[in-house]
Amino acid sequence: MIAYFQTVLITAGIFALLAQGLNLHRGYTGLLNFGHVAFFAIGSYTMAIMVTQFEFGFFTSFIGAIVAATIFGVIVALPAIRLRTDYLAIVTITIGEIFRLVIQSGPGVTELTRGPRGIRGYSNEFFFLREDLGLGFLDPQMYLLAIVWTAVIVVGVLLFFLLRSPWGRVLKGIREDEDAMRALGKNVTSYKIQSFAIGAAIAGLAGVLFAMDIGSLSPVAYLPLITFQAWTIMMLGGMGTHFGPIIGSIIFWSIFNGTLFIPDSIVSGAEAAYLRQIGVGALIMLIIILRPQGILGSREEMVLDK
Amino acid sequence: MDDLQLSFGGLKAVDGANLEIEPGKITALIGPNGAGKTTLFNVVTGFYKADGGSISFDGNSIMGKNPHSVAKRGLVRTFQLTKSLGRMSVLENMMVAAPSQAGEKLFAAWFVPWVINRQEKQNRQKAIELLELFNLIEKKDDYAATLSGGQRKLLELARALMMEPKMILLDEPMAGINPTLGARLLEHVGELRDKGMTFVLVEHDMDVVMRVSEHVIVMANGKVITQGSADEVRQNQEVIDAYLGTGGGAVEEALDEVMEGKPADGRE
Ligand SMILES: Nc1ncnc2c1ncn2[C@@H]1O[C@H](COP(=O)(O)OP(=O)(O)OP(=O)(O)O)[C@@H](O)[C@H]1O
Ligand SMILES: [Mg+2]
Repeated sequence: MIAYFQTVLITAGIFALLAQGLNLHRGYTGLLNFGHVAFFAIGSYTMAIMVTQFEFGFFTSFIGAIVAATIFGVIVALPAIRLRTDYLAIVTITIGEIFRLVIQSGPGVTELTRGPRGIRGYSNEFFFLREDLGLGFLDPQMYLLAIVWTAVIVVGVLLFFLLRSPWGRVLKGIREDEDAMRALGKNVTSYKIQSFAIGAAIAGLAGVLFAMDIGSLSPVAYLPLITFQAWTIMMLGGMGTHFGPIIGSIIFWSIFNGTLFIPDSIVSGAEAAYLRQIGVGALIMLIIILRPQGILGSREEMVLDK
Repeated sequence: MDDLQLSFGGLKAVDGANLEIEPGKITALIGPNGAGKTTLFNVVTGFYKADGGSISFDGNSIMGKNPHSVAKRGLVRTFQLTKSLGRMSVLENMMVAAPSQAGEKLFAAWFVPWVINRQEKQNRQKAIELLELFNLIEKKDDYAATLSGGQRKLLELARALMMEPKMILLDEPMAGINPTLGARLLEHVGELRDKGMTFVLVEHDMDVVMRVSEHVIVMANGKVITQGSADEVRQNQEVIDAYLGTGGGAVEEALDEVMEGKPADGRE
């Protein structure tokens, strides 16, 4: 039972981070990013490759992963910012898939990523570190749980201050009407790149922690499904709210893993896996019909047009 | 600006516009619907790229500059179809417009919160004064999307003034504004002009044009057909010709046409 809650909370924390980054893009800046999983993957892979192939320490690799995700965020943003709404969505979803396929079978790239065989053996130092951090009394799962939720809280607090500052107000303005913001003298392009980069960095951080959780990397762990789960979490919690991604993620993963409690006599394990997917689909529909603004979103804001 | 040109396909929306705006004055830009007034604003403020010509502001070329850099130089415009930031409060709409905010830099909020707090306080003060003047103070905490059409026009003008521009291009600022309030706003515009701000306004109401503007520019079919003081323009034969054809009706009638924005077709 405790193991169940640990698993749910670790995953929920990682996806809360993912949704926090997405929420910065979509909820605050109005950027329809459907390729979020690519930033997640680049975080995981950069860290794993640096540790296993170049024998960097965990901290260096961790920083490297976040820097790589940030740079990738800027690179994706450059073509993407010229596009609006649906067009941006199409381009980002494509970038996400291209990225996964390159990891899986890109010529030259697979020497680093080991293609479909994946990478393992990168997490030892991370788990040994808990002695140094004075967390030796925790078992590895509890330790990971603690680190993940520390990250969620730190990112949450930092974002909170950023988004209620004038910088965050400019992002919201861009979400509402980017031409109006241009007329007000704001460099919309630059802000969109900043938003993209920071959201990507947070996703990269989530990717590192995800890698620690799953223990071995392979491209199949980075399907577009991850992006859609992050979207569902953001919408469930409430787009453009500070705590929405966190609450959304906990509820989402509780429901998702809830199928474990259905006795085997009613549905078998394999059926339960399908049941989860059905559950997620039903959840998305329920949110949109019953509470389109999400749990923390404001109904009033939802019904307003521009 | 010199010989400014912009076409949409075959249509020459701005066709060799040549004009100079005198600093510290109120200039009215008039002309029938589709004359190219809004398009001219769009070109000058960088929203559309001109096909040819040159524009300079305050001694520097602003040809081909991005909208935000034009605005940052102090040349600010409003939109004919208002653009309010709907899911932000009226006060936030004002605050976001304040120029050179330290807090707009990334991460400033983490490192220099006290600087931001001080600026925010000053800007809020200024925003509230403007909102009071524009009769919007009771709405300050409401979402901008809940404002009426006229209130949105007011907010847009107030927001533009929040930027402390040197020159401001107003695209039909009085459309849909109640006359009493409109008169008060014009008075305020006059005061700002006295302090050295330059205004260009597109306006279809000739009474307003004649009352406030020191200079009038008449556009038709993308061209500037005449300019001068309000009285000169009133008596200009070209205006009459442009709208009514040669030998057309009285001056007043011609101006009526301009005022109602009917296209010139040269016939009865
Ligand atoms: N984005 C565009 N694409 C194509 N044609 C355009 C575009 N914008 C304006 N036009 C055309 O250019 C001409 C000038 O339009 P503009 O909006 O500048 O007129 P205006 O003088 O502001 O008129 P009004 O008094 O009605 O506001 C019109 O014929 C219009 O149809
Ligand atoms: Mg117009």
